[in-house]
Amino acid sequence: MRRGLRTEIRLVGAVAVLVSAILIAWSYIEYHGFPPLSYRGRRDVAREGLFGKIELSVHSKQDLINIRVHSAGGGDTKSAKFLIEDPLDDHIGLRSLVVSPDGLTLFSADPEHYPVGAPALTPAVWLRLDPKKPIEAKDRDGNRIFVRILVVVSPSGEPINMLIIAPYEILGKTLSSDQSAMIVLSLSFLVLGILLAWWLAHDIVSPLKSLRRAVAAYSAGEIPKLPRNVGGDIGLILDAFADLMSQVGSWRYELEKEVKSRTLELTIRGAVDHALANSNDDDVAYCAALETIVDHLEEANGLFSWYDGRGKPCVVIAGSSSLIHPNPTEVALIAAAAEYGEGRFNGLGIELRHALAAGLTAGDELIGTVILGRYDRSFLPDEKKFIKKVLGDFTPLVQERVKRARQEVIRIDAEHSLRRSEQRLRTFFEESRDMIYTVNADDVIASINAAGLALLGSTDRFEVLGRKFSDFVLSIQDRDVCLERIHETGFVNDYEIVLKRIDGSAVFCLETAQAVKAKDGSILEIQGIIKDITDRIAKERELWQTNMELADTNSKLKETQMIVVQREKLASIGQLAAGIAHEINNPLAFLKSNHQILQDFLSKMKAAWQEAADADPVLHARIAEGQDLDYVFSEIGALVEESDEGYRRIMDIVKNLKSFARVDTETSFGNYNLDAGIESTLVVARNEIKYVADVELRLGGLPPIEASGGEVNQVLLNILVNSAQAIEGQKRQGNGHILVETRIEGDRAICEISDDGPGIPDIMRLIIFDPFFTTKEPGKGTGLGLSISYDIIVNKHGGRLTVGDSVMGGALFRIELPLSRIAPVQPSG
Amino acid sequence: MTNGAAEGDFIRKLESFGETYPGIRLSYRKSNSPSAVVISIDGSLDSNNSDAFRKLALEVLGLAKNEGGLILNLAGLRYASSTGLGSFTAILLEARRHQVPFFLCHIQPSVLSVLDLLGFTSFFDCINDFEVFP
Repeated sequence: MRRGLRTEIRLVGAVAVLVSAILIAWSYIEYHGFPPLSYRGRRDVAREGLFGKIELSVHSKQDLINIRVHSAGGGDTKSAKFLIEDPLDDHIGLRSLVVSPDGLTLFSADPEHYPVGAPALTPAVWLRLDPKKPIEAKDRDGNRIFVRILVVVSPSGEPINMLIIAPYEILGKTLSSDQSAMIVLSLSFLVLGILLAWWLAHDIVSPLKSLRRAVAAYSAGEIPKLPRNVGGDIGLILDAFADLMSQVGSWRYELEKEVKSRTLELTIRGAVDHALANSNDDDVAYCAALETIVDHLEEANGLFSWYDGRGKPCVVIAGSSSLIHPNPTEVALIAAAAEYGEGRFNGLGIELRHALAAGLTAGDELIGTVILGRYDRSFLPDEKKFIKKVLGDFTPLVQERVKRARQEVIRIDAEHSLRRSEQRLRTFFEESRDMIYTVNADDVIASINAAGLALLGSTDRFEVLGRKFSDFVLSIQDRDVCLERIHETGFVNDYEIVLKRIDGSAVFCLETAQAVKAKDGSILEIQGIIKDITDRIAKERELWQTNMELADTNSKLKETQMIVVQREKLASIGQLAAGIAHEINNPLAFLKSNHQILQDFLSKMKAAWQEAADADPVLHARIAEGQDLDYVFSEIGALVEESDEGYRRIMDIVKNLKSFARVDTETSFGNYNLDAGIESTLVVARNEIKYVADVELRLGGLPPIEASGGEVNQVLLNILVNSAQAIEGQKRQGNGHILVETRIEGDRAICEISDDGPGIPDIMRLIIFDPFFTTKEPGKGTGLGLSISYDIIVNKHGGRLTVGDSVMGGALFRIELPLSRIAPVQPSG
Repeated sequence: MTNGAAEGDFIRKLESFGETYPGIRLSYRKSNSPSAVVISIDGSLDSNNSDAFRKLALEVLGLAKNEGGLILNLAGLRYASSTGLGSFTAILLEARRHQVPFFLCHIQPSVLSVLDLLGFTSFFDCINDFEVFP
């Protein structure tokens, strides 16, 4: 139900209720005076009632009622307090007291108040009676009584509530006939009121309502349609208002038409301006402009098309918003025929009875054609004018569109080039023989080509993608260094890295990588190319190894050569010494023999001279005095003794030379006396030693050992001469000291040669036995002495040759030789 | 040029090496026990700087021979390419030719692994302290 109708019904109903209430009030006043009042707040009332004077004190906030009942004769006064209950919810507290749940609250609470022998009571007036719950009780005598609560008005006009307890017969009376008549009268008035309301709604309110709706519609911008010839005064008003609205509607239509035209024009201009201002996104604005035009032409069942200067349809928008593909040739003909003309046109797949074609030019160039067609009628002059204006605004947009179309061609070409370039890059990426990969800023592999997978030994791309690159390098530290360089410089070039394949094998690679950075400098991605250089490394390794081996071989060759030379030299020296000894020994032998013979002859001559002295003393004396023969004979003995000593020393030298040379046993092992070897060597080295050092021998009387004596003597000679030269290099005051000791330790003969020279630095002790190592001035040493010595003692005799510190502060060389020959040790290189 | 002048000239070259070749820093000192020249390498030795390093190291061989030997301290060498390690081999060859004891010490595991892969380990006398004499 509409709100207006409800209002009318409420209005009519209210009138009817008002009239009825007036009638009922009138009837009530007529019979009873004022209506009772409900108690609110505290109110005290008193009345002479049935049982005497009853005083009621009601305080609703406390829900208490205080009843005081005075006997009729002014005797004792009883009082009691009761809780107010209100089961009927009619806000008449006193009655609530009476209709307590047991219905006997009053009496049971205070039996003293029971009205014994009360006279019959006839209420003067009653207004309300509760017919639903008559309270049944019994008095002390067991008589059945009924209790009612009446709201009465005292004679003085004061409304009170009265507790009525009376026999049922008294209270059983119903309405009086007057009261019934009044009620009927009230109902009649109620019906009449309703009928009056209907009449008002039909004849008066309804036209007014139409008028109100019309005004509201007009206020909302509509042109309302009002009923005419309603009749009556209100109907006349409606007719006049309808005429007024019709006129206003006509004016408004014209106005809206003008506004619409102007709005469309402004919209198109705005769209074109927007399109030109936002040339980067002109297509959107361009289409929006076209659609704006078409939207406004759709109502005329029109069709709008746009073609470029070559007759190629660019945008075709029909009234139905579906695309229609026209015949470009026909369009071009139409466009060429008239810059701005009208005719039939069926080139769009549908026949348009009226078509309007207009050429769009930029200078002399026809850049497009706009065709507007419609089915129903020809275009009105205003429409042509409007369209021409629109096209005028549209021209710059079309020019821009043509420019954009050309740019679009360029863009498409660029896209094609880009796509081809992308394809080339993709082919380059996938077909590359080298590993190409990308990792993100956290060094997690994001992409990898097939060569990369193969390099890592994988066939499953997802086995590699998403993993840290450092998982595939032999040394994480190498990768960290690589990333640090990339962070610092943005790239690495020819960075060598060893990759660790899936199977754990290592691959030498060369990496070139660069970082892709964000505007803030942070690394977004690292792109790298890795080349397998295993073959190159293998070749380099072979080259280096070959170089090292060649160097070693060359060194050994030189060593061997020098050893051979040295040995030959030594052998030559030995042979020379042996030859010298032999050559000396032969003349020495006959010299010694002759010397012995001469010594014998001299002895005989001395004896003969003594016999001559005995035979002729005078002559003997004279001859002896003349020749000083006594002196001669006395000195001959001394001379012979000196000659003997000389011969002995020469023979010792020869003997030692032969002992040192040992030519006969040079290359073969035999019994060798180490102590004797030391002594003979000292003889040979005497001239090197005697001016710089004193030699102390502590020989242990060693038994013969099985050794190559000549070579052992070479070793001893080298060590002794080196010691003497080291002491000499100190430029010291006085001679140094060299101590030679021999002893037996287990199955070995030990010879220690120590001195008080400068000693040998620790680091030099590792290489002191290397071939060609020397600290001597150029030309003074070959660097082979100790090397050969080491070879003789260690490799040939199976002994040991070590160097250490002497207790005298210099060097200590220790020679260990097995007492018996053992299998020679092969050179270790 | 006297030994002292040669040493000073060499030290200057060492100190300026890092300026010419960023990423590597060389330092020089003498060791008394054992008596040797010690060159410490910090950073990376790769194809960009290994050739220059090799030439510089060869210059010091004469000085090192007088001092008793040459020790390359690789404690700070974080990265070495095969070319860098090849320069060690070149120095080794030259040191042998000139009778100069040559040692590597404090080789980092990452460098040692590459050295081992290259098969160069057997070429060098590697020490991790200066107690070189047994």
